[in-house]
Amino acid sequence: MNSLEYLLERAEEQKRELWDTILRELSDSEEERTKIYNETKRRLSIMRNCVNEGLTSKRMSLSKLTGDNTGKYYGHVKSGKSILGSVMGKICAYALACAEVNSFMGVIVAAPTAGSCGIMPSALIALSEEYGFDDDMLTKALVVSAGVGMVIANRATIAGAQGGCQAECGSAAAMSAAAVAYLFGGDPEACIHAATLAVKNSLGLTCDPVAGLVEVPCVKRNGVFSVIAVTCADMALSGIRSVIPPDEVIDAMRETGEAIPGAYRETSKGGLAVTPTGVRIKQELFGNKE
Amino acid sequence: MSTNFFDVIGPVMIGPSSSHTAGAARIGLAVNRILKGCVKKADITLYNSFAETGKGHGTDKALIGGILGFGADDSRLPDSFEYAHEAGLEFAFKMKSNSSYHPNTVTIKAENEERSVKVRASSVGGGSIRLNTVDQFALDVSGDLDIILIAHYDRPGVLADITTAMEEMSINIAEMHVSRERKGGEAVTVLEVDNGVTDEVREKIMSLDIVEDFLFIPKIL
Repeated sequence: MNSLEYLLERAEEQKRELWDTILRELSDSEEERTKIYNETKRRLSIMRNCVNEGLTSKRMSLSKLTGDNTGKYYGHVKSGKSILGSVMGKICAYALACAEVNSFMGVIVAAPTAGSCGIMPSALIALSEEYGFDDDMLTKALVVSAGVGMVIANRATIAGAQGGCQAECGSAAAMSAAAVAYLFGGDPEACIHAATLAVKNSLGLTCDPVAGLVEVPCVKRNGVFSVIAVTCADMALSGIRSVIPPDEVIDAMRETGEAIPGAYRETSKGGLAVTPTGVRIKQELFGNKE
Repeated sequence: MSTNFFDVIGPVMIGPSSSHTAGAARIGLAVNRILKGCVKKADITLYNSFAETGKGHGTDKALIGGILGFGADDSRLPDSFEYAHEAGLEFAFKMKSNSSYHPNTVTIKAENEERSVKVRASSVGGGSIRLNTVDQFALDVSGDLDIILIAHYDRPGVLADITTAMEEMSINIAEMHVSRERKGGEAVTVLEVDNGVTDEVREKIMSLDIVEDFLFIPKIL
């Protein structure tokens, strides 16, 4: 699975929903496809637990740099003061929740990575609560998102060390955008273009974590990109299409990732990690070893 | 490179880092499997990025959890030091750097009442690991399949003997690698196999004259 355009053509040829086409690309065996579907559904329930744990826990990360953002922001949303409104605010809060569970060593589902684990599950869980999507609908949306993630992984990369944060949070946003477009009745073309818009709008994003930890800026970036993903889905559902075709956009992501200097690919040798405050935080946490 | 479906909605793991936490737990688990559990002592040296940022990623807790037999998704991992205390596992950590090693490398010298083992392994991304060495043997395997290590003397026909024995036991070999210290000297054959390595397999291989030692490492889930 290495082409979004191929998936789209197959789905249109077969007159099937995108999730069905993706499962059929994975296996010819009905039994095997059912296994994959059921395991996907199981992972959905782990994602839901993760959101709930993040909303109720008061634990801080190992470094104590993060852990209290979810509480602050979810309180803000619940008080009705969120500019984003109750639905988008909830998605953002849930994304922070997953990312903070990750930072304090809770159980998460990497989607596609641990550092970006809040972006897609937050939208699925929050929208199911607001709009009543059942678990089968969500499981199908998850299959759509995984299909998109596989194409990006195979055609570009989902590793921050290889492609910067566009590969992690950008891929997660693409996965989420496609899933959300599916939930709201988008045809395969709308789903694929939702994903494409999300990739386009994260190109060049660097990975420069402070002290090498999956905390700053990763936690808040999960919140921000959860919202960007839904924006992309919304545009695609309105009929907006990417001028640059989907596969060309993923290829641009690979090319951009290769061009990003090593200092901005998870090595913590550039950007936020080497700001005076970033350096001080690292020294306070780990001493001055270098 | 082909990515698995559940690599993009997975792994299910304890955060925060697939390489520094999930991979570390799986390395610990490999040690647990090699010793068949009940590990009583572990001397651990973290290298490079593992040494620099491991603490902030719970790499130490994940390694100890793995050595206790906890998987990468086991919610006991953050409290593994307490579980180690209860289980009577003594451990110590050292930090070093070595530019010839992978950025996320660890060496573990571990023992239980039966035996001891020394492992060097790296966490190479996404929770995937490579076992670099086990005791004196260089392997470089992922641990995604069952692994058989056979120490033997370098003689003509020894591989045929081993593969024939595998065939008789209906064991399918996925990957095979042979290395030797010198011509005619000690050699090691590393096999990655698909299915069921039993005591019977071990006995069959050990019964070959040329074979010195046999070690089985079950795949690390």
